[in-house]
Amino acid sequence: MADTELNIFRESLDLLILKSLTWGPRHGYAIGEWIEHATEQLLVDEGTLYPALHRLARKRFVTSEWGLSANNRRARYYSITAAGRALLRNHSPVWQRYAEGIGRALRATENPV
Amino acid sequence: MRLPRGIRRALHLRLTKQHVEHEIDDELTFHIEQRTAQLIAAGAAPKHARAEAVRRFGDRTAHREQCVAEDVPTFRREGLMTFIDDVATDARRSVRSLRRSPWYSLVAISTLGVGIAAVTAIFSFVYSFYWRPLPFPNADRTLSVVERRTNALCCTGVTMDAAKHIAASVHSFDRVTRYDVVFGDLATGNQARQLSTLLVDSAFYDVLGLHAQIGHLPSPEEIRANLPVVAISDELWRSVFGGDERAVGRRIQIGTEQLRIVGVLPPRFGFPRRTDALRPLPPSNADDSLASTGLLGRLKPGATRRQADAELTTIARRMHDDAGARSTRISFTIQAEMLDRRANQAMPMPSLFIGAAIFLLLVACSNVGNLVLVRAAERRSEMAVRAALGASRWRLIGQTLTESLVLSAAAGVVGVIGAVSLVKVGLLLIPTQGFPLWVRFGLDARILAVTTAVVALATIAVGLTPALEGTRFDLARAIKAGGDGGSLSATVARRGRRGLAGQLALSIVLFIGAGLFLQSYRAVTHADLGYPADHLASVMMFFDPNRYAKLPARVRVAESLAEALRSNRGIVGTAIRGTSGNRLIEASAVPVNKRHAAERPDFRVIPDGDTTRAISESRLPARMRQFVVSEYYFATARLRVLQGRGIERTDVVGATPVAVVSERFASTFWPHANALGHQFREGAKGPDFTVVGVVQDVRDLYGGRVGYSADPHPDVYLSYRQVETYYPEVIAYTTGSSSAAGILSAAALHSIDPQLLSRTDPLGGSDEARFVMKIFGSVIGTFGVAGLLLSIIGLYGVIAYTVAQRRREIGVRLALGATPRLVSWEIVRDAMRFVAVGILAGLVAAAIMSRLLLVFLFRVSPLDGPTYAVAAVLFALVAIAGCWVPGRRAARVDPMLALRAE
Repeated sequence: MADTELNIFRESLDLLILKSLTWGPRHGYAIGEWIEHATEQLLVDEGTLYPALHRLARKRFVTSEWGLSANNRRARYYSITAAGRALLRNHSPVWQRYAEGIGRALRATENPV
Repeated sequence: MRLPRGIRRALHLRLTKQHVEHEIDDELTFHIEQRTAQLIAAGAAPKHARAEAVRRFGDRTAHREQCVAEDVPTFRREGLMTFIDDVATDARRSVRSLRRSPWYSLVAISTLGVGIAAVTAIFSFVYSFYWRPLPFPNADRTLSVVERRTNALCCTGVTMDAAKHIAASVHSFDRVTRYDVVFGDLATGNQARQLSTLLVDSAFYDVLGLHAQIGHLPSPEEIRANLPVVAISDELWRSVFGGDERAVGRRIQIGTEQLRIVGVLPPRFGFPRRTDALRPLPPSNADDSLASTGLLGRLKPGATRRQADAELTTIARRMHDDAGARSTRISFTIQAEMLDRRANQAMPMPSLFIGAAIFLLLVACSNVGNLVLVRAAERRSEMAVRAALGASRWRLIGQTLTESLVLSAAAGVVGVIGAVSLVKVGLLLIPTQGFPLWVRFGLDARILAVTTAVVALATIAVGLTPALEGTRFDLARAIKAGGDGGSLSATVARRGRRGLAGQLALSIVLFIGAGLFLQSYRAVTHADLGYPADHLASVMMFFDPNRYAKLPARVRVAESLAEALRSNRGIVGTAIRGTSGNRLIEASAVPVNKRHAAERPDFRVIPDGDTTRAISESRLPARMRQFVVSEYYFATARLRVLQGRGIERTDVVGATPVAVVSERFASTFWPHANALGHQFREGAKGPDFTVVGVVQDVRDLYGGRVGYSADPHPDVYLSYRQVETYYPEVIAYTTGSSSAAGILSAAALHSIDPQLLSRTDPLGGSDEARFVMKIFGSVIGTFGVAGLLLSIIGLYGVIAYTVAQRRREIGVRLALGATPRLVSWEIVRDAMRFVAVGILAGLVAAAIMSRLLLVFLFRVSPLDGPTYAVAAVLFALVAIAGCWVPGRRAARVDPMLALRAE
């Protein structure tokens, strides 16, 4: 993957992760599931979630804690921090405008100039 | 299984990198398993489901590495936080545990505090006096030159002759300046105070980098014209003029002169010691080549002291050659700092003071070390439990050391407070009058740095052994034994004893040193000097070689002053005394400044013209002194004439030259005969003097590098009417203290010659000797007593501990019929074995080290038997007492209780 794509992807993945946590703590697998359902797409590379999660943890946008999963397995649960919420709040509109802008441009049928 | 972080921290289990990696693996595996399970639930075959899950996960190794990379900084930060946390926890824990045993803490902190206070106080004293940089800009490059001549009458500086040579041909100096110090009284209202006035030439400011605080310093023009201008000290400006800037321009009278104030010196300026005023140095009389002057040279950038030294040696040789083969020997010495910091020659070497303080600190450290060791033995089971729960040995060592650090830091605080008060008290006791003003006693960064270093060393000295020993154990055994695995108590006993023997030895060395000093002090204060030194004052006059070119004029002034003083209440008698060569007064007195250098090529005393019995002055048992005195001298100085007569009015020019000699002189030259009627001469060409009387010996205490001596000098007294003296002094016997004579003589001299400056000093050098003995003796004495006390506390502690360890054994023995008396006796005897070793070692060490004190001792041998015996007996007795108490307690052990406790 080229750098530009990576950055866009990484940024959007971060926002998706943060969004998924707004309903409460989840472990990594559950976050991945939520993203698949919400975006109606398969994650190409599920493992990429984890570096993203640890990066967010280092930046203190999320915190982690070991807990028990629904099937009584030990799992690391992530929750969003106040800083994470603030990031999500600030970046979501930017992303919406960006995505819409890109979409509109790609849908364009005539030269507007 | 992972313990919660709180518990991990409480037990001091540190996160490791492996833990981090392990957690990431767990997390990733969980994901893949969840996915596999979900695929199976959706209908996939287990084998395919697993492969599909792994495929969908992507590059697991890469993801894992990325996660680790993300977590490491966090992990490191947490590690550091944990470390800081650990130290803080340890410190808190240590403080808590120290507070739980207040006696232990009190003893340990105060003991260590005493040692640290001693080292800090002594260091700050020595540092302030000897090592603190001087508050002058060019201090390190400014050197003072002192000339020594074999026939010199005085010498605080160099002769004018030498000054000329030095200014012309020492190339290592870029500036050379002359100065002088005179004394005069300042009349303010009805009070007079003696001022020390510094006379300078115009190069002086450059050399020292001196500037006026207000106004200006006497300018080169003013100095050249020798105008009556003066710059006054900051202290004088504040005390007399209340710090009013309008003081500049006003006039003050110093001695007999009206001087115009042109400026104020910077605060604290004093050169070479106290300076109240600074005036132009009068132009030198070119002919008076032997007059002395202070001389300072400023080293050129890049030039070294060694170079200057070499150049001065060349000059000395040239001056010697110029003066002819039979001239006097001349040499120059450079003083590293221009100020005679060690003006008091007998000021003890700083190393001795510091050495004594370090001794005390060692005693304190060894003492507290024992305490900590005992404590470590008692807390062994606690350590074992912590080790069993996974605390690493380093962690435990760290904690033990932290406790030592808390101890020594607390002791450091106590020590610094103690040191500050010690210095304050010390300054109250020590007469600082003679101290240069720039000697400031106060804490500064360097002193605190030294204290910090001392605290750190103390921590290691005190805590390292217990930390290493107390954490080395066989876990299973240590826990099972319910405390001591056994080896530590053996260590405590072994090290404790060795340490105690060392402590006793160090303390006894201090104690003996103190004893020697105090005896010297007693000897000095009770020494019969042969004359009432406390009542005698000498008034010295500073004769201007131009106005007093002829010596008889000087003598006339001295006579008038002696006469004037005699009429004062409080002054019982006065006499004239001068030191001089042996030149008879000739009929036609040649003015001083027209003469050649007074040379004494021959330094032999030849009795009865018999050169075979001649003794060279340098080979005399004590320095020979020669006084030129008036007829009242022996009565004034209360010296008994034992045989013949004293000097009389009739011993004048033209009559037979007479001499009165001291007993020592008589017995040196005429050991088997009566000296009366015999003749002697000094040098082959000297005039013959006939001995007409023998007077009692006089002892003077002069401290110095060779030590104090109260040996009587071979003294010669000649008549001032027959023999010349350059500097006649007036000696006054005062009923009160000798210092009263100063004011009286200044007033009397004013009516004789208003321009003549004078200075009054107590006669005899014993004050200095007493001062040194007293200060040194009391400091070392305090150390010695402190050392003794500390050793006893230590002794008590170790014996008590040993007894506690042996409770069971003692119980068994008592149960089997041993008498309590026997048991306590055995404990005492056991202890006395190493006490004896300590005392013996101390005596030997003292015998070796007391040689260092030789210079400061007076009439006491460094191997003074009684002092050693008293120290040994005292220490032994106190040691027995120290063992007896815990010994008795051991004997009172209830056998039943002791056995049941096991």
